[in-house]
Amino acid sequence: MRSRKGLSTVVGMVFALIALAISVGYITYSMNILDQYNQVVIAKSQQTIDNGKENFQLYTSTIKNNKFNVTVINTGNLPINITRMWVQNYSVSDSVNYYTINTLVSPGATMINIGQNIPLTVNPASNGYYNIKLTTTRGNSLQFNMGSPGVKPLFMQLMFLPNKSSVTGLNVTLLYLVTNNSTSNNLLTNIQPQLSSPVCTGTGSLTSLVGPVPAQYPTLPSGSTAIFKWNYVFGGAATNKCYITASLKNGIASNFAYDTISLP
Amino acid sequence: MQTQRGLSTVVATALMLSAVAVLGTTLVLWSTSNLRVYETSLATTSSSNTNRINEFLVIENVGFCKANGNCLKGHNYINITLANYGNIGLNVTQIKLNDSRYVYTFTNVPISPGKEYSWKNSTNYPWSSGKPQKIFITTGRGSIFTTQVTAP
Repeated sequence: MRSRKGLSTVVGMVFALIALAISVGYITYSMNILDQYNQVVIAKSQQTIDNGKENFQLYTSTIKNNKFNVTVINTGNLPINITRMWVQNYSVSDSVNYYTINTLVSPGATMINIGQNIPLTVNPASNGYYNIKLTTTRGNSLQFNMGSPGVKPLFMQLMFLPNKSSVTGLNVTLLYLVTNNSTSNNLLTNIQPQLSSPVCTGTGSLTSLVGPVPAQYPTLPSGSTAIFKWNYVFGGAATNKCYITASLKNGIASNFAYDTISLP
Repeated sequence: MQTQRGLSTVVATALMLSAVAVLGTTLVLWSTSNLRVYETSLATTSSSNTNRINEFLVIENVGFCKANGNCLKGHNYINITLANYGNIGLNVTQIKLNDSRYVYTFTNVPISPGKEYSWKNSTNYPWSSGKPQKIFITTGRGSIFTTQVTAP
């Protein structure tokens, strides 16, 4: 009798143990799934944080050997992988192309010669205007415009120092200031000045000694001013004046500056 | 009398054992079946959410083209390039520009990891210079990637 009574208890216990094992298995499985999900969420959060920490800036961009030559600095504290260089040529129909770069830049490091190894040639003397974009694996990008000064009018000034001479045969300085007044990240290339022939009244004359110094600015970033200098000898008689205009090669024809020097 | 009493005890014990066995088996089968359903549901939900989180689509470049300028198509359009920087493939199902008037749906635009996909409007899209353009990309898993660009 005793053994029979115990049998049902044993059978009940076996079933209870099976149910318990299944429950424990399910809970373990759920915990594992949740843990994996948690790891993915943490990884994604870290990726988003890294994305925000990534920081790189344009140091300079020029045209060298008829190719772009871009230099960037990794100013963040994470290594970055520059994957592609996008180039849109505004002066050619529908021209948007990208070129693979795939180069790592360590924190604080400078990466030079970006664009020197891509199959794209650029003529610095042409009136080309480009939009350049560098992208990274984290989805960030650095974008800037680059091109000739002939796209938009620039702020410019021309001034004789002094602009009134008390004696004839005076050495005077001519300064030509060109400011890149673009509000966007707009890099102008190949800034070269050109002067008209002086137009003088009476026996007035302007004889060039030296200039321009410097002969050109390879690039002019937004907000920067290029200063060119010439030295002249101004001669003539009383009330004589000389007039000269300055503009940029490849610039807009109507975008020029002028100044006059005179004898009292 | 003693024999008859013993018989009823045996029958009662057998009934008890049968009842315990039937109830126990039912309980175990029911719980196994239910838990299996829950496990499948949990695995599916977790997997789809994990995949959705792992999707990493970047709207890498947006180009603008003007019909009266350098546009080859003869009408204004924008050229969007998407790059998949994630470690799983994805399927682009919709591109929406600014508002619901310009919604473009796709049935099969898969982008493998490390690959990109470029798209242009097949119809006129009247973008204006200097005005910001919002771009919404929806994937097959329901993720929405957005960006805002200003037309040149």
